[in-house]
Amino acid sequence: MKRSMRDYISKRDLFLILFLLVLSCLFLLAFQIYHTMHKARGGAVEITVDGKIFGTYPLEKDQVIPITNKKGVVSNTLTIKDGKAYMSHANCPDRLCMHQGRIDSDGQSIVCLPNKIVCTVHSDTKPDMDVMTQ
Amino acid sequence: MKHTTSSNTQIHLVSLGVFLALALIFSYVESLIPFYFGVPGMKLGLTNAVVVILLYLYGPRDSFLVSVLRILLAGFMFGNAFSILYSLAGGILSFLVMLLLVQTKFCKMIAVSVAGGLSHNLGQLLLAAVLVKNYNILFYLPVLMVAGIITGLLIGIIASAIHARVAPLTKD
Repeated sequence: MKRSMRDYISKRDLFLILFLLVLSCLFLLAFQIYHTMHKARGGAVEITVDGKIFGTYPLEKDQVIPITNKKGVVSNTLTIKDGKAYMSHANCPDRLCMHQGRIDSDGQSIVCLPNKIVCTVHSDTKPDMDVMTQ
Repeated sequence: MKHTTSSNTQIHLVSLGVFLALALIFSYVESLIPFYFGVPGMKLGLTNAVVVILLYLYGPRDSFLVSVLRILLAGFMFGNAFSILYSLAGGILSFLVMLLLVQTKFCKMIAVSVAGGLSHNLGQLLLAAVLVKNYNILFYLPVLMVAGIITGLLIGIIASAIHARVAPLTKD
């Protein structure tokens, strides 16, 4: 039994797929433009655990930040080195956050879903005093 | 006559079980492949092939049942409570989108699968953004959309090739 391409895919299908592809490429472009326009490097990295702010740390200073969860157990470790932040340790099984690379520009983030940790770079936020003097 | 009907129901039930087992195997195979594109939680979506084929073979009710059962069982075996939640969000949204496209006969299987793949990623990401209470992760949206289209296309091609061969066998 011979089957032709037409049995599997119609013109309308192709249009729909192309439309979705173009739509997501536009999104991608818009996000990229937004990203380059706001590409102020440096600043500080803000860490939130379960939606609550854990602390804000300046990127200029090399440091190792142990992130503790509600029970006080260190679940992840964020390292700031040469103006870039990366997750150097995680206690979750998949450790995806450790593969998310180094972040240094505004809006970039590292997300650890199992421990509900989000680290985001904000270039305009000044690190608050009580964190710096900690 | 009565005998035939009940044996048909039995065959139907057994087929659904086999499809569910197939979907679970796909889940397992996927959990073994380190398919990593720089975005957490991205997968090939092999199980979506089963959901799409069932949508065409047996209709929405059976397809939805297998899809949800697959997510729950696979979640308990290979994942955790959170992976179940994310999968459910993606699975249900993509099921609704695909159901709409199939019921309105808007497009054929490949495009249905593409829309399904895209909406699966969309549903997961939206739930993740709500759960983590951080909307910066929506930055992943365009990448996940493109990824969903590509994987959906591959799955759609596989699903329509399988459906063309399996459909004649299930005709009563």
